Amino acid sequence: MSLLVARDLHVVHRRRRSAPVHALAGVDLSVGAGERVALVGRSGSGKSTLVRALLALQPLDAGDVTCAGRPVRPGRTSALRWYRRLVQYVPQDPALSLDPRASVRDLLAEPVRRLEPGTGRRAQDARVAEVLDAVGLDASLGDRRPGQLSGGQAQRAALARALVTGPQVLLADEPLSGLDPPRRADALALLQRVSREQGTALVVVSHDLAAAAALCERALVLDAGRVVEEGPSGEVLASPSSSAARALVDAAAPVPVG
Amino acid sequence: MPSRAPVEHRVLDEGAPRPPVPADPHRARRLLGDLVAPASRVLAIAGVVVLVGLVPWLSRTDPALTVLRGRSAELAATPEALAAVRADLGLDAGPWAFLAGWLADAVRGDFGTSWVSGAPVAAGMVSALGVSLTLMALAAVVAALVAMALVAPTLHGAVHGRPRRPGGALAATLTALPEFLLASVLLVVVAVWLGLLPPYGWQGFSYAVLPAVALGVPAGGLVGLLLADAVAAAATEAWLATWTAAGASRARLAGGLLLRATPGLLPQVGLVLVGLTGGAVAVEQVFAIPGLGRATLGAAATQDLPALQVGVLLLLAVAAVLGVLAQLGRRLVLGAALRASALPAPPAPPPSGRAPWVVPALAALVLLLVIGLGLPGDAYSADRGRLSPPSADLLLGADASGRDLLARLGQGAASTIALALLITAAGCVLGVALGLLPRASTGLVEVTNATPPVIAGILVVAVAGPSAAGAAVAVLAVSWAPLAAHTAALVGEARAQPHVAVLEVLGVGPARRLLLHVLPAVLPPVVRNALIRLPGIALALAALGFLGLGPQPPAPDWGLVLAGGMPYVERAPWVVLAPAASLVALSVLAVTASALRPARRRALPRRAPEEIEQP
Repeated sequence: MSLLVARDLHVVHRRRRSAPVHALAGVDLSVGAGERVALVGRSGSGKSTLVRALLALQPLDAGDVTCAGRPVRPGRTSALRWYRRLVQYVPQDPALSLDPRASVRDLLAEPVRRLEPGTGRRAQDARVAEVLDAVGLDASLGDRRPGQLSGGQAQRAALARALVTGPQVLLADEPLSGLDPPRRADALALLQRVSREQGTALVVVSHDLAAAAALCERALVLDAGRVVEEGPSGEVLASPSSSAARALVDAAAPVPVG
Repeated sequence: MPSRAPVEHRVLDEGAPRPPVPADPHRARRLLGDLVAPASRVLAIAGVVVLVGLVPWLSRTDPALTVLRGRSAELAATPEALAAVRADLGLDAGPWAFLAGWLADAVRGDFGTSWVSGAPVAAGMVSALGVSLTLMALAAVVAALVAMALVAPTLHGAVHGRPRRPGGALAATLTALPEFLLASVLLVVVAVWLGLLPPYGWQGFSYAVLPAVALGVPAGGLVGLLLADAVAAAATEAWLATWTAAGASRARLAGGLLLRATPGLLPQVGLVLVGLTGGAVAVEQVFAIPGLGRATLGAAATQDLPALQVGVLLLLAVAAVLGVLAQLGRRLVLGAALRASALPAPPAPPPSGRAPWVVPALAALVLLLVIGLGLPGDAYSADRGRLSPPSADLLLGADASGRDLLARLGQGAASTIALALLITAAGCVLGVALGLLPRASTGLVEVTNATPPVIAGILVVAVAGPSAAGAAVAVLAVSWAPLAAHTAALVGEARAQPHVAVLEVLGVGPARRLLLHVLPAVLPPVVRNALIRLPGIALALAALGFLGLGPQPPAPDWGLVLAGGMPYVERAPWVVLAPAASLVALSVLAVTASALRPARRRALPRRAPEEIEQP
């Protein structure tokens, strides 16, 4: 059975004095336990809106999201705790998503305190130590502030924060954008290893079809708010059939010189 | 890995019709949300009208006594006579019935009769309004000339490839003196000493020159300085080089620079125009011009509340119309850009090369000297020779009652600064609280921005009588709005920071996000902004004191000391020069300190291009 299911999602961005934008026009998505799914599309295809909808941050105009059979919709913080324990998020710019004033230990313990109230101090420390180890960060880094971490360490810390409540699904927003090639490879390997070891399903949002295909077994191509193509990521990459997927593959091809 | 059905490769038929846009499920809530700001405006305006209408009922001085005195000097103020007057005025019916009666008459244009003269108040006030509008129009002409004179050198330098900051900071600062001070100085120097122009009255064009200059120079000085700054900033932008390379004429370049610099300033121009209304009250008082401001001040002094009600309503209406005109002008200049929220950021002023703190530090030093030397003295005993000239023993001389001027100025400064600090602290609390509700407080902010401190002061005096505390309440009531706007902008920025935006997903609730993450980022810059405004607040208090709307004699308030010295200026110039010089130092501090303002917007992290949604 699928873990996270979105059915016929519609989101319309309505602004005064401008035409409404149909950002999601009937998106269906299901993510099974341990599955790795790539959401690819160019800018403005609706990726970010879909991620916000899956995170229960975006009110829906139609459709619904369910997790393990329970409905999920934006609402009170306390009413969504169960869902946030199960579905977590690694934002784009992971380093900037860490409060510069807090220590790494406090940053990582915060989701435990908020999402599992009543967890004792020692249990929190144990969980923090566990996830630091899982992402390959030394326990001594727990006392540092984000400003004292390298870019790679900050990215790992943000991943550790998302893993600390033991989620079943991890949403990663452009996890590879803005990284130089060696760090891209590191980040890819880390996500893949964590997903395997923890059995966490991955939803990876990217505009880079090739990188997403390397990480995920399944790919969905979004264009203008609709899923225009989906299938095994290798097949989509090798024989893109929609014009949107072809454009993404062509964009990644090396530019001929001469 | 759990087993699951193999995934098929599926492609959407490219010709498939797009699903229709679903109906808005939150339509009702969205429409209600859109109503919050207009409702807030209507409520705020209604609140002001109700407040003005209830003034006679709220007034702590007994209106019946005022009316009785006005009718006859002989009638004894017996309880029966007072009760008869109350019944006559409708005051015995309770506040709401009284308000309803006043509103019903007001809608028909009947604002009652003067409690002092018995004549209908509306007609006199409308003719006074004509005088005030003439004065303000002349002042606007002066302001435009001053602004052009200030911006011309910067514009000239910019089109000749030598962009520079506007020079002559001190000269420019002097144009930012408060109207009541400039008016007093002009009256003394030009009309009394030089005898070039008539000092009092309103009998021809020559009578209007000095008042128009007193009112127009500060306004034009402020606008001209801001415009010159914006032009200097725009001249560092790349498009100017492109235009020059393309062979644009110098006139064309100057036009482009002005067009680029103006839109960002229009909100401030609106505030300056509104400020003209308050400034006109002070200028009319100094030059004895029979305008709306002086008539309203007079009504406040004699507790002639029907006249005061019309006067305040008309003054507020003038301020509101000027504010709306500035808004319309902004729409006209910006047009489509404003609607598409594609407003270009106002150009950031280039960093000033010289040490910007020298002038404010000198002004602060002068003030500290006055306080340090004056505080130990005796400000109240009239034991010196009346109008004694300055001497080694009496550094600034004595006033008309034989009191030590330096001691009066030092103690007045200390109490004014203490009061201004209190107002600043309270303004911070109010501004932050209301800035957190930007839509709900729209109307309150707009009404506050359209209310000069003098008008607030008149209302407070009408209700509670003149006092230092009343002046503080009036200044506080109109001084929080810029802090609320600053708070609202900073809250928006703080919430957009990635480390705050992610908190909701981590299970951090709204109250915790606000208190632990948003406010700590917002408070320090707002408090800095409030402290920078402190000298301006002290100046507003002095202006109220000068007009008799603040502390009463023998309090050593600076405005009172200046006003009290005016009649003796020819015999003993120091009684005017000493407080005027102190106020100049305070104005210089107010203006130059606000130029020290730290950059309001910290650079936000650049968003990756793929994150920007394309509609």
